[in-house]
Amino acid sequence: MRIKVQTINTGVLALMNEILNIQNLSVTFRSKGGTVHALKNICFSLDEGDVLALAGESGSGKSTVANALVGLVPWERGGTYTLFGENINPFKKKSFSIVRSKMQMAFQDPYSSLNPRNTVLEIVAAPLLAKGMSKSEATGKVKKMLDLAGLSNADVNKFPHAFSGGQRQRIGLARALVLEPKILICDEITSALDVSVQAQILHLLNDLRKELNLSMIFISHDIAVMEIIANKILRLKNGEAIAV
Amino acid sequence: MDSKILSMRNLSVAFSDVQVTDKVSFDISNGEIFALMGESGCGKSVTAMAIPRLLPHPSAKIASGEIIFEGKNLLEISSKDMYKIRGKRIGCVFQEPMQALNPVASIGAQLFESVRFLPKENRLKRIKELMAKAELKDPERILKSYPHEMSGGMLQRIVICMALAPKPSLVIADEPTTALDANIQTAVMDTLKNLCKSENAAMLLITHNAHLAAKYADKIAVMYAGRIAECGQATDVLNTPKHPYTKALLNVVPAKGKTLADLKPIPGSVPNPKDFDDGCRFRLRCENKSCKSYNHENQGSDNKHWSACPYE
Repeated sequence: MRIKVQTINTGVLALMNEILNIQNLSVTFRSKGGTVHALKNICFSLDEGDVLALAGESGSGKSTVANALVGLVPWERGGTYTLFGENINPFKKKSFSIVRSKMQMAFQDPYSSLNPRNTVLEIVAAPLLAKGMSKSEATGKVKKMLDLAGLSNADVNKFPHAFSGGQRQRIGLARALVLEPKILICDEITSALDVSVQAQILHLLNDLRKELNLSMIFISHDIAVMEIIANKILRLKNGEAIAV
Repeated sequence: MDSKILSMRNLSVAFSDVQVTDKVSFDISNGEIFALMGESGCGKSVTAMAIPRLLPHPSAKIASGEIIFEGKNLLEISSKDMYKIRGKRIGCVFQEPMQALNPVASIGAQLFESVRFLPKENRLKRIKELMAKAELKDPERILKSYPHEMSGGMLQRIVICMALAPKPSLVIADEPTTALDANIQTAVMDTLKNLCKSENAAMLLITHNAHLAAKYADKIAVMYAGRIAECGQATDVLNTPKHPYTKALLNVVPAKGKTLADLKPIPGSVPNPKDFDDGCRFRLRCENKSCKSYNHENQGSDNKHWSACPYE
């Protein structure tokens, strides 16, 4: 099935340089209770600078697309995955280590996505240390990223409980962006926030997108929010892409 | 017809010496939908839950004020008298229908519990009448089902039926559609509104969603940091907002046709209740930062469009 991506004019300028191409992405969950076809032959592409919104109601498969892109759920045979012109083998877990250096995720719930026993510095530095960076180098980078995300350097030694929902979401964004990915996946990152905080985060995302030359996949159930932030929309229903 | 059914006067609630709401006053008339709108932590739910006396005991204390419901001050009557009002005269619909219902009792058992005051022969008739109004098809099957077998939207319709079964004169709906999918929110809100209208019950709608308040409310009170910032007829508050906070809040609500530049974020954040003072609590986020005034006079005392900001 061909892609049905709606393009909307929101002032987001894409550079027509394809960086991600997904063909026939299918995901099936099997359990004792039966088989659930969570995604069926999803195809889409992302150009440099694009903000693609994945729209749909609960259970339509939006988050499963995001999870499949970073290898958190297994792909069905037949799908192809091209990232920056490089073919990724989605059936091998190892191939996703390349993906994760270029693609990162920020999650919905600012309360459960941060480890309550780690300080902000430990949380944001974790991906850098895992990549083998020295502690002092990582600290410098974390402080720079927190500054970009609108948090002060005095916050690095605080624990997540000391922050409001909006500030926690900024920490989550800093953690995702500290590895300097080219693509950021935002899974309902404003759904748990108040409207005034949501506006701050949407502006922050737009600033970060320009500053770091990011492309984004933005998952939301709020059509008004998507039309504000995205230039392309892919609508999903029961695991399938649907016509607009 | 403008008979007051509920009149809240200067209600202040404190949680272990920290006062979280400050002199909240408003009136709800017979059959009207009154929306209490505001962001998380502004005191909407605390104010609403003080009415059926459902605030946690002993941590929450009523510091001052009165709640006159059908001529009685709910804060002064005995627990025994309150038992006759809570659930019967004041119905409640909560945010999470899955948590509001007992998972190990059938829907039928729970619905029958809400009509136990009726003569036995009339109970099933009343339940079926409400289920039909709530657009719940195949009532026989639903009555035999358990909560886990139903969708969130259907469960919330059942909770709505339970709240309205004893023919209350006021229904408190605390974020009734926040936990539901966007596409069924309107359908469930329509059901709630129609049932309230047909049963002649007033509704206190707690919401953070300006679209919902605009669509369903007759009157709106906007809360900020434990106080009412502005109240009045819904059209007045939304079309010609007076308080700087209401104006700023309406500016950040995403809507069709708006661009990112149209969403003007409010600088700073809501103050911590421990830092609340007597002056205007919005002043640090307001354009007029030197202004410390807070006008509390005549709050909710008539049907006029009222604002706490003396400069508007």
